[in-house]
Amino acid sequence: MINPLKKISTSEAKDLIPDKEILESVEKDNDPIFKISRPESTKDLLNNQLLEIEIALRKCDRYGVFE
Amino acid sequence: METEKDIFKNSYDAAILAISVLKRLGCGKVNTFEQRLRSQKTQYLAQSFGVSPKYPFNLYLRGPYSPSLAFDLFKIEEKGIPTRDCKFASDELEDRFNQLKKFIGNKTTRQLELIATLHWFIKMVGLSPDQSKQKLVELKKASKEEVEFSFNSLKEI
Repeated sequence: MINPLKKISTSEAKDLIPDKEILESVEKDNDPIFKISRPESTKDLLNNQLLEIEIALRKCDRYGVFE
Repeated sequence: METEKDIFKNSYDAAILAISVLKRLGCGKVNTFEQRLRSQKTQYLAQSFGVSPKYPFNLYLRGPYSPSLAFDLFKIEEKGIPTRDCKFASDELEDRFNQLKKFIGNKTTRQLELIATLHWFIKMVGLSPDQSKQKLVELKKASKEEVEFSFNSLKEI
């Protein structure tokens, strides 16, 4: 499923992209293959939950909850 | 005053986790273009293996690239924020991480770039394998051997 997103301007890109070589390639982003928004599958959503648990555990650890 | 929430493009702990994963895989540094490029492709593949929090990627001439990840990598370097090389709490995530580590192995940055780009065409754009291979030749000037190597590698993801 292809859903081209809004093209960013070169000046916006300059703020975001630190690498000149890659910035130059922004010129090509009028081609829809370069910008995709893909809906997440059930597998992705389940996987995200595992990662969210991992992130929450690490946050608790960072705040000393387990000490 | 800058708070935790303002530092990274991703949430603080998601960014720290993503960068910890990169460090465990021997990248995440931003000193050279090569280091940044390798970190980008490794992060893209880590997301594809489901072992790293999501960053939004777009395709550029050097393959999938995330400006937000670039921002966070520079931020963590600039602020000197420590990351820990600890294993995942979940065995499932740790197993997948080990699969990713084996997958990356000794692959060159060029190989990772081609694999990530081919993955993008097939999984994100939805092109057929043949169309994707053709696009890889057009965009990356990939040789026949490089295309086949990349395509075969994708079967492990």
